[in-house]
Amino acid sequence: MEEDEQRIWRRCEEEQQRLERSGVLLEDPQLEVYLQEVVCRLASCDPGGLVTFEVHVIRNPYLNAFAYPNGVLYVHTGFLSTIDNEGQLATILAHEMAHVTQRHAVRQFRDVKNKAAFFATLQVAAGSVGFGDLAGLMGQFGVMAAVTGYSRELEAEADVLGYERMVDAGYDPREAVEVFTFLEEELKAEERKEPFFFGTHPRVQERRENFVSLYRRSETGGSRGHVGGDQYRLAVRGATLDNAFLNLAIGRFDLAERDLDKYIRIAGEDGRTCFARGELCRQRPERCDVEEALSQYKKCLTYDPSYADAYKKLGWIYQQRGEDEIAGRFLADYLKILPDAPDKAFVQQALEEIEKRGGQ
Amino acid sequence: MILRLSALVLLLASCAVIPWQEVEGEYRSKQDEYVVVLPQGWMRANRQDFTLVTRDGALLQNILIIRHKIGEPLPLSKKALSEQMTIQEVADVLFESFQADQNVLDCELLEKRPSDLGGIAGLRIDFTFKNRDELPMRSVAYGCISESWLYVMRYTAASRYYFERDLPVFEKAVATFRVL
Repeated sequence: MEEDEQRIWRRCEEEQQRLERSGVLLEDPQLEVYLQEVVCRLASCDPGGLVTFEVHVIRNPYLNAFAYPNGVLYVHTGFLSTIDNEGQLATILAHEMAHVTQRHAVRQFRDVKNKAAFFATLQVAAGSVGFGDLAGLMGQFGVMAAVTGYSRELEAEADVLGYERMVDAGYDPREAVEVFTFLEEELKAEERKEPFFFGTHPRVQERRENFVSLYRRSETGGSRGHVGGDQYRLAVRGATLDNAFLNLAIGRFDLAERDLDKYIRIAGEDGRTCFARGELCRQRPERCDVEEALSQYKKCLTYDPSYADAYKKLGWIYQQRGEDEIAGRFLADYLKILPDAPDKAFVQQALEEIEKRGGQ
Repeated sequence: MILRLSALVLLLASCAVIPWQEVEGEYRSKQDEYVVVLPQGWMRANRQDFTLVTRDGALLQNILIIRHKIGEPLPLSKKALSEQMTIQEVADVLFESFQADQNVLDCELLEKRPSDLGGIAGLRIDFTFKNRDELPMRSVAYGCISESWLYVMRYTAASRYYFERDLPVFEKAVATFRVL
């Protein structure tokens, strides 16, 4: 390995350590084992390969995946919870693996004469798509891999090689095309010109057509190949629930609902899903009756009587409805469970007001 | 604007074309319709869309004052505040918006409580986090709603040394804030 490539690898390792310390990685050892199995299946198509791949998951609700030149791949919870099966996952991972095996980062880096200006441009571009903050965390090579993408030629090369890799590994080639359906939906929902994944060039529609054409050329008499829906959904269920809460926090309610539905279909209802449903209802009064929110919070407590936030939400709703006695009971229960809750002053204020009204 | 404080501070810290001027006591924002006495000797970024002052550099400590239209989605979020929301609901949404900033890492809420801002019933949020350089930071934000606008006055500083030192300066400035 030449000196500049060694430097790039060292920089990448530093960027990855920063990501690991940042707390943005999802801790789900079972999921990582599963992802590693998929990568191994894809890598076995290239037994002479020199790179050892590993995959980690980033808690981020937007559709993205990226790879560092040293073979460390990252995929967002947003992508995992959106796609439907292992074939689609293999499409994404194989594309990223192609960037690694073809040393795209090094090639692009060497092609740029004024490197300082190039990286400055990358950071500005990252900011302009609303990704600037995470971009700062990832560092320069992460930004290139995750946000701005590679040149049109390098992305096209990753498309072809990634596609061949996933087909050689026995996955259903039709699933490769399906990934673009999700990317197009994300474009519409977020009103972005381009999603992050697969870079900015060529455009998503053009990329979809490329994949359709690759599929047609490689058609093998209708044999489908591996799709892996059930196993996939089971493996990503935790990431899907996590992503539901991420979407809920930033007001992407429809996507939060989709994530919840997917999780419940696999893992069933529990305290967290009921709480999340209650939150969805409460925060979308135009779409949901407050009675439904109350019912979901109460159901949450039947699954998990120690779910403090459910007591608090119930308390606030009853207080707003003027049902002081019930409100007071729930808010007091909240403080019983969390006597040092960071928002106890709000709760205590409400309890004092309730008491005052009761004494009048 | 609320969410992207860190990006904003970086922009100001790195961009030489934005002029800074020394604070001269009372500051009146005609655009955002408030008046506040800013700390003497601090420097103010000369911007129309927000007020930001610092003494030692915006990355070490700063006071940011912004207002946000009720009903409009918060940056990096599709959530909007509504006039029907209670103060604690506003506090919840505001804190979520602070957390949604991917540059706010290891965020820990210390306290969320009712408080006044400019004589209007509002909220106070106190939390710690690490910035993207892994520097421990602490932030205190006051907020209130007045006539379809959310006003936020937020102090952010390095946890070590700067936060404690300049917190009283910030609290003194908060006490002078008035919506016009």
